[in-house]
Amino acid sequence: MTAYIIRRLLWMIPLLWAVVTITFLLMHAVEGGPFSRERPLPAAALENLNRKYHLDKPIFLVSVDSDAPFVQFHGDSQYSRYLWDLAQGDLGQSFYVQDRQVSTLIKDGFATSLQLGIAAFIFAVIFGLALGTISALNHNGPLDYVGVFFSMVGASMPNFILGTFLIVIFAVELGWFDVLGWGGPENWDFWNPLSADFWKIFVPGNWDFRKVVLPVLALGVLPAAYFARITRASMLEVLSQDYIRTARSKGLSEWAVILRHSLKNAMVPILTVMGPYLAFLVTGSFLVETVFTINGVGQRFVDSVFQRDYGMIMGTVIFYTVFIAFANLGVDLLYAFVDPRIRYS
Amino acid sequence: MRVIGTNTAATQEGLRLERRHRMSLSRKWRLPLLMLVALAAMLAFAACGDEEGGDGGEESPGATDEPAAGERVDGGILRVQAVEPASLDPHFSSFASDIHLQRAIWRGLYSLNGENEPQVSMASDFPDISADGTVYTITLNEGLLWSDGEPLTAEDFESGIKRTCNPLVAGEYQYVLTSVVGCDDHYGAEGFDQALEDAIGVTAVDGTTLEITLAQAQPTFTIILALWMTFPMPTHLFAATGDAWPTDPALLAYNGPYSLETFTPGQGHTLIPNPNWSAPQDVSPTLDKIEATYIDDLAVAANAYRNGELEFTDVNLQELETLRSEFADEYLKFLHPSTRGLEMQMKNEVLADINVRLALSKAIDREALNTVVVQGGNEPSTSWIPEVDGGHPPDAFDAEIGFDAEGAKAALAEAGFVDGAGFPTLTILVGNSPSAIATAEFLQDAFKTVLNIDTNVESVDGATRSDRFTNQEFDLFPGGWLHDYPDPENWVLGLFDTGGSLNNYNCSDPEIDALVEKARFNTDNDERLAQYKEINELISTHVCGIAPYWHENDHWLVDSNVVGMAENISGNDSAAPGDWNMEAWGLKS
Repeated sequence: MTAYIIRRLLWMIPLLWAVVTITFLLMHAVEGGPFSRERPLPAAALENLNRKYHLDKPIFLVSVDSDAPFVQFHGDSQYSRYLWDLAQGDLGQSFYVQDRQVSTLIKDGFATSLQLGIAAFIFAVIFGLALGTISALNHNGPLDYVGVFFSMVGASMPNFILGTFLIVIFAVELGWFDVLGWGGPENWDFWNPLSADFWKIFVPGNWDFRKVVLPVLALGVLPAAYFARITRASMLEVLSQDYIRTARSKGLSEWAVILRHSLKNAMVPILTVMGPYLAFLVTGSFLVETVFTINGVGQRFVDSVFQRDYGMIMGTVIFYTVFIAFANLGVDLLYAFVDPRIRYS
Repeated sequence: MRVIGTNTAATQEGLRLERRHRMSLSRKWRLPLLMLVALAAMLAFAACGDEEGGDGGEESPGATDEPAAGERVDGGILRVQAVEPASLDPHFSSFASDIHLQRAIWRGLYSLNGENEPQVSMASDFPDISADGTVYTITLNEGLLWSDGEPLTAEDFESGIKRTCNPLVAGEYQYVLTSVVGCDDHYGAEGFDQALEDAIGVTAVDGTTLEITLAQAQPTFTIILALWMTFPMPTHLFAATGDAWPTDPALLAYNGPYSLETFTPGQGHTLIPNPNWSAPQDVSPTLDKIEATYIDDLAVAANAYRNGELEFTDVNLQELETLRSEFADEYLKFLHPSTRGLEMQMKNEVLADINVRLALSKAIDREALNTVVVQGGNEPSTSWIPEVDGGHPPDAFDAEIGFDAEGAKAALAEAGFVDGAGFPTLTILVGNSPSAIATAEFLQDAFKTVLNIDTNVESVDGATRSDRFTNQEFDLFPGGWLHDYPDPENWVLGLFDTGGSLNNYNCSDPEIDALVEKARFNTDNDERLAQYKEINELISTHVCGIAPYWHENDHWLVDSNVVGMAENISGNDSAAPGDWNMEAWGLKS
């Protein structure tokens, strides 16, 4: 198992290099640049900006031209500079938000997205598993139909439309919740469990729930619907197994039958989708963050593409890559925990 | 499970198990149901609880006694919608959102009042100008302080101007200081050069006297000294003019009416009154705080305004009619000094013909365009320069280039394309916002209906569109201009003179060029303004690169409890009504 983990970690290096290179290529292949403005900048300003951000350097160390010499080698390039900085852990500066480090912007945005994503995930797991289990246990009964209906509606409605509906009904009309912002604790040191600021997330008094409920619902309903459907299908299959009948025949309590034997055995396909969904939720949903004006990493990432903020684009792609790679590794390791038959060598 | 069999002990046991199973079936989904009920209860608790989150009401926190009508009370928090600034550095910035914030926390030697006229700010009087108009001597007020208590001196203003001229800073509005001796030389260098910086014609003669030397007389230079790129730099916090501008508000000092308390990229900023604000016009902040939330999606901002979470917001033009009727008493409209029109690439052989350009201009029903695309939110116009900035009234050139279907057809026929026959297909290049696409489709339909010519609409994102414009890779391009400062020269120089740095549509008119040469250094202001009016007439009636179609209005919602916004609304505003005079904002209660 240890060797497996080490091997997976080592594979992340070439993965990261491939992602960086492809993103770099695509980024520079797209028209427009970070200083393409509605009102064009004077030539001298553009020149100084390009020099400031090293955009006056060739993109790669080798360039190909239609005129002789057809291949040119350069002593310096934007790509090599970026790789060198990245190797030292420096994600560089934002090209749009002046004098701000990309790592700082991602850290601040991710702290918010992580809170929102985890809250939405917890909601989705509780609601989805419960709904799916109820449906399976009440197969073809009224509760099953209700559960299937809610799953279908939840899976069909885009989260930004749901979010808008929730705002209009529960915030504007009823005044129960707020429209703007996120109510989680600010300046959360999510990366440092030794810091006192890490634990403030567990203090209810640090939360403004009027700003939490609607974004969590908007973001969590879709995965909840998927979890419910998969739970229902998986539970139905497990409940029909001989060992479940045997467990009941042996006189085990129904809680034991459901939790220890049914749900646990039904978890493998559920875990398969939970891992990627957790990664999706915590890396930020641009649409939900826009609808609720939440300063998350998802919105920052999409904005950076439109702004051609090269520094931010590269930084967030690298961040997402690493995060998703670790999330997938975590899911694979969970498989082994849930199903003893699965072992990695 | 149904047990079929005789009444044996095993059968009894099986029946008992089955009963137990059925009973527990009714119980086993209770846990999941209980979980759902608990979840719903939590949601309800969150909705009903936490009064500090706000109750959706309309009052601002910190309310005090009811004042007399029109007066401000001391205290209160004003919550506003804003756009995220890209930079806090006034010597770098070009975005209106940046300037809006920077004007609240810093001020220059002069400022512009509500009539766009210069007034003293940090300077004690208007500049003493030499006879040839090239040397400006300015005296500061006595006893000026930064927000941290350090003296604000002439050296701070000298450094501020030199910082804008520094190539390391890459200030996007450096070109406005082009007439300052040595500024262009340093800015155009390949890197920082101390000798070149020292040669810039800005000198702090003593602690309160500043001397600026221009390469040639510039009648508008006093206006320039009110603009953000001339704001002072707190030299006590910087080692050199090229140092990075801090992004932590605590590391900066301020001389404006407010200090920046917090600044969170992507989220918002807060302003608090500057205790050392010199109040040159005897107006000081009364608010405890201004809280700005960065909201790009104005539909979201509208909902927040409805929910009582904001006292001010920009209006979503897609909802203009709805919001105007919903908030009739809180809706503000103001003509902004900006013009939009159809820009035409005159490098294109077809568009180089004035008859073609006239035909296209006369095919545009500006009233209908305004109604269809922006619900009547703008002011149709055939004048390039708005009247408020020294141009003509909006209808001044309706007869020459305004909507006239028959006139349009005649002009196109004059160009050799009778009923559109043989006219090449041109492309209208627009952004990807709904209103931009709607504008393009309206024009496309107009050209087909009136002129019987085909056009393509190409919608691209903002950066691509800007890039194509800069590289002159377009045929037709809905675009325009928003003034940097309130003078007609800002509408002409670089834009319509042959070879101008921003003349991407290649307008080249000898009459315009000749007038520009006369006007730009003309120290007789009345004559100068008359010359720019002539230039405006030429640009508009010759459709030289652009067929104007409207001046833009600003549309805002301002809570009835707010004072100082509507009262100070001006063409000098950058992002909110009266933001040139933010010290006058306050609350009635």
